[in-house]
Amino acid sequence: MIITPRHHGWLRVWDAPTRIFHWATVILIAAAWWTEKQRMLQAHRLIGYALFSLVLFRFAWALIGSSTSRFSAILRSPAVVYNYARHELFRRDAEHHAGHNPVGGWSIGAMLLVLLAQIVSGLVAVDVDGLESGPLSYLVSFEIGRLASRLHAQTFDILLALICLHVAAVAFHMLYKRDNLVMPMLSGLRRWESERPSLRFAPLSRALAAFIACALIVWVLVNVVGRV
Amino acid sequence: MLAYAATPAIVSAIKARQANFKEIGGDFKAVSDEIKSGAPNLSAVRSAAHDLNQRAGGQLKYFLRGSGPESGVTTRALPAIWSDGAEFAKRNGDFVRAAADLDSAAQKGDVARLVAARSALGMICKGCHEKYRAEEE
Repeated sequence: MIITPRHHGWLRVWDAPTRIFHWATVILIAAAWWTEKQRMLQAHRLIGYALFSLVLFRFAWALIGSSTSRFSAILRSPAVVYNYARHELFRRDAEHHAGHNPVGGWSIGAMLLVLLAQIVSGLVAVDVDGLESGPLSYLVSFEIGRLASRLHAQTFDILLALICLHVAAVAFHMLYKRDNLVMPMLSGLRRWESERPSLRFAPLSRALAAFIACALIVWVLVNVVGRV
Repeated sequence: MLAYAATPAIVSAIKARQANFKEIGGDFKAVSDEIKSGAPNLSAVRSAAHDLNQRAGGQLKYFLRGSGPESGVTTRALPAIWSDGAEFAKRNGDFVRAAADLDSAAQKGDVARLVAARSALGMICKGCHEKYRAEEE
């Protein structure tokens, strides 16, 4: 059997759509925070719509995407999570996971859910002076809009805490377990010496179609249903 | 700061101004939502603008001396309202005039004037909130 050097020792774990989603979300969350701090609310809303499209796409990709990006790989059963936390999490010689580990998967699920809550609360939020508001705020009362605005601030704190936990976990893998998780999220490839699992990768055309559909849903919600 | 048991008059003044501001916020939102629709429903705008105007004129009397944070009642009203009472009264006058202007534009059905009056009033809301109201925790 001939093993080409290029593929030997490396395993493709993340597809391009998942990686693009990841880094675009990192940049856009930072930009959303910054534009809010500067009270550039028009830019903040546009960033929110982009994040909304991305998050919807990520949920769709968890249903129809590559095997490492699916819900079945993200949200593992409590027994699997328990066994991983008990026997593998703190062991340096534990086997690597091709994709999310069982604990990390739930942290991804939590971040996606909180990010969705962040976006939905922003859509109906109303500024105290009534000058700035989300595009769907006309559908709710002033009181509910103000409540959404407070929730929008609180879910951001929760999101920040989850992001810190995520970064700390990646640092823990890097420093304690000598397992670099950042490079695979950039290149899609991770080092792999043991038996290769069978992973399925979805075609890029499917990702493109799904993203366009998600962006269209957001566009209709904002520009047809919404009032800006 | 020394907190003492606020008199019933103080407590009811605080509650009244807060409730009134909430109604004003709701009225302002109703006007804004109609403007943003591109084709404002003028009868909705008129009733909201009129209600806002009525309420704006009645706000100052609820800012009784002693109804700030020292009352012990939960309020985000800052001491500057009373320590710089002349400035607060002047700004209240601006607010009352801007509300009357909004109402008059609405009753005449002059959409261009309504849009301008809405922005002007919104900026007055914002100016006082920044100066006289504590940040939300």
